[in-house]
Amino acid sequence: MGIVSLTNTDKLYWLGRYSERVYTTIRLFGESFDHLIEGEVQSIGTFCASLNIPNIYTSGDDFVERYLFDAENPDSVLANLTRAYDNAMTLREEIGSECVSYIQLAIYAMNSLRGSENPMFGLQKVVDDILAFWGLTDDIIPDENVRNIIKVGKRVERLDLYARLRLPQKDILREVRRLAVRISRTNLQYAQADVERLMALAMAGETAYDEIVALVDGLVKI
Amino acid sequence: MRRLAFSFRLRLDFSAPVQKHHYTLRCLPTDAPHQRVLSALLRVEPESRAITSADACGRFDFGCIVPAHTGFEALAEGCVLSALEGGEPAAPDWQLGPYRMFTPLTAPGPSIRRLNDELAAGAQGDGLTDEIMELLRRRFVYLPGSTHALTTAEEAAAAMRGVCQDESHIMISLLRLRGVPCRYAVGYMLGEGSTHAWVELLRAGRWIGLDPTNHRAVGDEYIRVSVGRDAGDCPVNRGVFFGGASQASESAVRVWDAQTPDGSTEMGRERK
Amino acid sequence: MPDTRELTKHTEEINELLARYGVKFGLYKHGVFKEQLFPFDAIPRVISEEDFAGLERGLKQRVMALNCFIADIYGEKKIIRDRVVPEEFVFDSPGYLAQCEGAKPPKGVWSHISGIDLVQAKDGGWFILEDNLRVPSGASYPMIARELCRRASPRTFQTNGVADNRDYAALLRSAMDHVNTGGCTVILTPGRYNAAYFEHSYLAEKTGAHLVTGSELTVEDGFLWFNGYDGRKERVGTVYRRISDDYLDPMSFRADSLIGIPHIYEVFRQGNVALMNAPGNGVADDKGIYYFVPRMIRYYLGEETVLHNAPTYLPYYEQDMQYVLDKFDSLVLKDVAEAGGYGVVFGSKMTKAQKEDFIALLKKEPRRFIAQEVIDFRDLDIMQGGEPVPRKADLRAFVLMGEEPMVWKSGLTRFSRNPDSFIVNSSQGGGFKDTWVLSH
Repeated sequence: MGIVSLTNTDKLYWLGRYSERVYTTIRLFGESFDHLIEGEVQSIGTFCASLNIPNIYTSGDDFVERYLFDAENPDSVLANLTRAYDNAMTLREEIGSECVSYIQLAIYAMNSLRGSENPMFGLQKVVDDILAFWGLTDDIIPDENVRNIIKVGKRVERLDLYARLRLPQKDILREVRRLAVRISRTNLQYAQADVERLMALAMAGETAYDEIVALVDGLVKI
Repeated sequence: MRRLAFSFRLRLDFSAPVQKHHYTLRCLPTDAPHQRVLSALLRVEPESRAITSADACGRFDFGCIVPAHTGFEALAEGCVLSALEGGEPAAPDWQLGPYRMFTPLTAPGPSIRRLNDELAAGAQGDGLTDEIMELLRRRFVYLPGSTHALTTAEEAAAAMRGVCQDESHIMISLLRLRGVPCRYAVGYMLGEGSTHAWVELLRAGRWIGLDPTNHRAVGDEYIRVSVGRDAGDCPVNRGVFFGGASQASESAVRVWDAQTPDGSTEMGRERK
Repeated sequence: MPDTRELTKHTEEINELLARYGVKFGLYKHGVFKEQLFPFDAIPRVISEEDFAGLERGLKQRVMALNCFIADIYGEKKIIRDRVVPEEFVFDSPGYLAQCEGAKPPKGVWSHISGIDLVQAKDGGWFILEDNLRVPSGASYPMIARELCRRASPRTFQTNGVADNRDYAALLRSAMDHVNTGGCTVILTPGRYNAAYFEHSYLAEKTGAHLVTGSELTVEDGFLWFNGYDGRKERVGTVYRRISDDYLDPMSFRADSLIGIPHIYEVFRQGNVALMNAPGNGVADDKGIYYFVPRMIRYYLGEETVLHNAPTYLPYYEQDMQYVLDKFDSLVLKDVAEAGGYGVVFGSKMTKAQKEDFIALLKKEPRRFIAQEVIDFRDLDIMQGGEPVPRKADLRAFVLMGEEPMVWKSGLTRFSRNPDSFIVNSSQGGGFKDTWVLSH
């Protein structure tokens, strides 16, 4: 295992988190957008509440425009993708130019579908690029620790989102298990007691979603 | 030749804790043909291991204090034989280029040029240096606090006041205008006070010290610590640290004849 | 000339691939950081094997002499004693750093990577325009462009014997290893907002070096360390630093540098780490010192100059000043303190008032300027709107120092996109080409 600096450890972790955030929020956006076709504007409120982000959107069109493409809106898909890009492009020597290129392609794809009539069509390309990025990181990054730090970021983010969305216990439990296995294969600092507590919460009859969110967000110490 | 003992104490106080504090201290003299260092000792608080090195300006000691701290103290002590052999032999003339060039701190402007016009046109050698020394004695007002570390020779010449650093810079600027290689020297002087600065100029292959502030030639009551093109080359203390703190510093220098009972007991105690 | 039509058909796709791999340079426009693509023209500059042999000989000679000069200036200064170079062109130059007096870099190498800018005249002769011995950039662009050109048109490279230039990483690595004092190799970048950040990260990937900023390195006990997240640390033996001397070490150079590493310069002086390139090289690539390089070659190597300077005049010398005033309209004047295509003016393009002002300044500060004959460039074709059009271009050749100097069989060819401009710098909107050295 090669030495990875604190800066790069932090970037790898957040690259994992932001790529996951883009991937999952695009899927969620798709569901919400589907309701907008019937003019169900209240679905925007539901969407924002479930993700715990402020509902700043004035109409369906405004939602599509600003939730997807507004770089100034910290919750937008583009803002999150840009954060993934900022991390990726400064990790070239850790993860390789090929991996970086898929995040770069996702940025180009995202920018090219501004003003599109059918954004879900074009967003598929962004999702494809992220899936290719994940596949490639798994395939070509030789250092297991580097690979797993990205994956821990991804698992942490997914568990955080699923818990916020109040997904069924079986989904939460699956994600906790995947995270627990993954984090043990890194040199990341964390408390084993936190992982055990997450496991207990995920297996309990009544899922304590808020406690899971708090625990998982503070799990990794960088 | 004279046996001098010295002590230099530097104290820094930070308004908030700082860490990863890197320091470079140029406060101990270098062995040279004109000055033999018999002993030299540096202690730094909080304790840290300083590495001794040297460059064209002389000896320096550097190190780093990692843990958070709010104060820093350096204590340098030692003993030298001063004023040996009538001055340090200079390197060959072709190697003295850096001491003929102006630096941003010593570049002449209208005020320096006006002073230069007051000197006899063809003056050189002792005649020239006597004139410069006399000009500064008559006109320059020693006034601590009127200038700062980055005041240029030209600025000091315009106001005609300042401290030893400014007076030395003006003299250097005037000498270089006339093509005389010269250096800025920092060191300690017999008695109690603070660090001192003077000028060294080339004469007959040797560096001769002149102290414009005290209107005299540098003799056996001086200990030289560092030399450079200007004050920027010879900071006694340079440091960087992490932490948003402001820094207050105070320093004290003491030089005494080591033969006195006072001096010898002190040196004896320090030599472990 | 090799047939490159098959390759140039794919110009657009190659540029798309360059975009995909993030081949960009950053610049500040009105204080805002922007990343820009570096436009690539697929028609290569082609250098014959024989022509390159001459370049190679001349470049090695030049870099050897420059290295001797830097070592001499910070050491014995014999070239001053022998009156080959006047001392005011050395010790008064902003590139001279008094802190470097007496420094002895590992293996005596000062300029590990030299970027030498040349132009080719209409008659085929080459002229040196400028030496870059501090942090020359640009090798990564033709390196990755070649990779993509080979994908775009493999047949072109089957039928033409072109020396592979993707060995740059291996050459760089051997230069890094040659001077290594024991420990790992890092590339030190000022960060992602530097114009050449792509290059820093790409070269780190290709040489297997850690890409670091100042905060990941520390000086302890007289050595330099690379610090890991988990508390492990590794000694550093070579730092390929892409930050300028001024910002390298706040304890020795600019005290306000936030991107440097305190005391790294002392570790270097003690021989415990190699810095490439060594601090202080600016004394040899100053536009004012350029005039003296042919003299250095004779002085240090006892050889005649293989590659000539563009005819240059120093207004510092009475005779040259007279010539400059007489031939003002036919000359290009350069401010020695400026770089990146700035501070360059053409006598013929000045108004009468501008000319008078300039001449007054020239007489007041003759040391500040050099004047050169305007060389009749051999223009290179670029594709514009499907048609080849001629444009001004230069060549940055790279010389790396291992046991022996090594000249990279390629180079960065930059061109001006504006038909009236001589300025090829990427920061001023220029593009680039691959440079082919034919292997038979």
